[in-house]
Amino acid sequence: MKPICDSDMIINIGPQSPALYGSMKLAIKLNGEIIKSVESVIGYNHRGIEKLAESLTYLQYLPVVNKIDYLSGFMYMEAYCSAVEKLCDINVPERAQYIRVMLMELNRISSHLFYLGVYLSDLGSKAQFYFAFTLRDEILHILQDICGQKIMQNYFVFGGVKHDLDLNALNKICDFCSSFSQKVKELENLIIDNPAFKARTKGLGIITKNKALSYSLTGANLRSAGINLDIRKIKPYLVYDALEFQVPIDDSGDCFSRCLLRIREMIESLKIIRQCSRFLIKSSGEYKNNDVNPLQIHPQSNTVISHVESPRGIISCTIISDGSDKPSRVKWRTPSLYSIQILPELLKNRYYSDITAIVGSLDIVVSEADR
Amino acid sequence: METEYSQFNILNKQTTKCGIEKITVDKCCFKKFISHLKNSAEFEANILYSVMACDTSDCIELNYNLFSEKLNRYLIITVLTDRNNPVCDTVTDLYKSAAFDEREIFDMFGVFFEGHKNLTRLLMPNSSVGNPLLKDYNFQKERSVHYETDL
Repeated sequence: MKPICDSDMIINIGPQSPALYGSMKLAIKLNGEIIKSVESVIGYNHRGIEKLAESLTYLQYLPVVNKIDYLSGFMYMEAYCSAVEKLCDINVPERAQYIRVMLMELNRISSHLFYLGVYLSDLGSKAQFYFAFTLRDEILHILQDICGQKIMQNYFVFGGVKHDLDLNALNKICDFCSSFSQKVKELENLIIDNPAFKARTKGLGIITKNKALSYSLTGANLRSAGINLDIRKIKPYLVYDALEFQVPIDDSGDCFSRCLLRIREMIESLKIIRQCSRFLIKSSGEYKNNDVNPLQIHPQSNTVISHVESPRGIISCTIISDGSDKPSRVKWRTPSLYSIQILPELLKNRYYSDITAIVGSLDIVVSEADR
Repeated sequence: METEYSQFNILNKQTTKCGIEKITVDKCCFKKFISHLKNSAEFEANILYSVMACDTSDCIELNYNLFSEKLNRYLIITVLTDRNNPVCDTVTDLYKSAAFDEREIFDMFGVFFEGHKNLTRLLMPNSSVGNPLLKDYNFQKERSVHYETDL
């Protein structure tokens, strides 16, 4: 049969598209159903967050930070707070460290549940979407009770957290842990034993070790390629070195393993939350460093870098101070920027219908890449 | 370590407050130095975390944040470029992740990377004027940005 059109065709997906997780554009050159080349265009959600830092004081910049990524606000708060704490030699009390770790792990679970729900619904499995989002809602309600907000929590301050956790909130978290530990296994079985999902994702979008390192991928995307790199283990921050947890890794590097690793990460996060809540129920202490006046942050001229393992990979925050009350330069390393960069290589010579399966598996948040 | 690096023109060596070593290298041999760090069995800098630019009053400073998985160690390589004519070699042939970083620095600081295959603006619209992260960027003057309609 003679083809209707043998010339290449260009299709733009986005900037506004339900198949992408934010405002970005994929300009795709197609020949029939085969993708010949892809160009990813970002910047539609650029808010100038790095430039903003130069005109705000250290405290004024704090609420801006968790708007970089709406799914992992705590991680960005931690990266910024710990950078300022290093800059001014501020100690964080142990209780505050445990509270921070526990909330960050709850945040990790909620982010992974969002990823799973959206990814599986993109691949046509609507039931899992409702399943994952119902679970995520439980976490968001707990966070709302603690911080007053569901996603832009703004709960961490320099030297600790804004207010202490009461027993009621801790009991709610414990209840959530016991119900979630069953449900996460159900979620895992729904994916492992799902032949339709396996057929769509196994052996697709393979990232090799060298490619992952060269593109500077981090997080579950890197660990699915067989490289055991988790900042929580290799350069522990806060109280992570006192906690017991495993870092799940896999070496197949395909979409299926990236999805599976995120589910296993949730199980590990649950272990961390349990240990933290046990500590917080038993012990008491200061929830913030009372010697710090956040309005009076005047560091000497210096450079500090802080690294945090977010649900999408390694976040790093670099602050260059010049001795004034405003930072001279703040640079964010956002993991999604590097995941977007690998898309053209992964999509090349694949079918058009594979786009959702590959793009979705990388857990990209475009607002994070655009800053 | 000292003797091995002596062949490269190292201008300054210091440690940041968080304990990361920062080495300032002359512009002419920084790429050789990074390539040496990447390939040497001793350091094996296999990840380029990010490239960061910073506008100091007299030059534009480029910081390459390297990480060695083998040694579990960070290292920052710093290059100083002329503020009036900022030009630097690209490292995209060594680390593919540098492509977006360099495009962002070109966009925000106007640093031209020689050898980069697609050096266009990354975050700002193509029609915008000026480089926003430079300290002397005038927001009042450069306010009118025309967004393209060829979506």
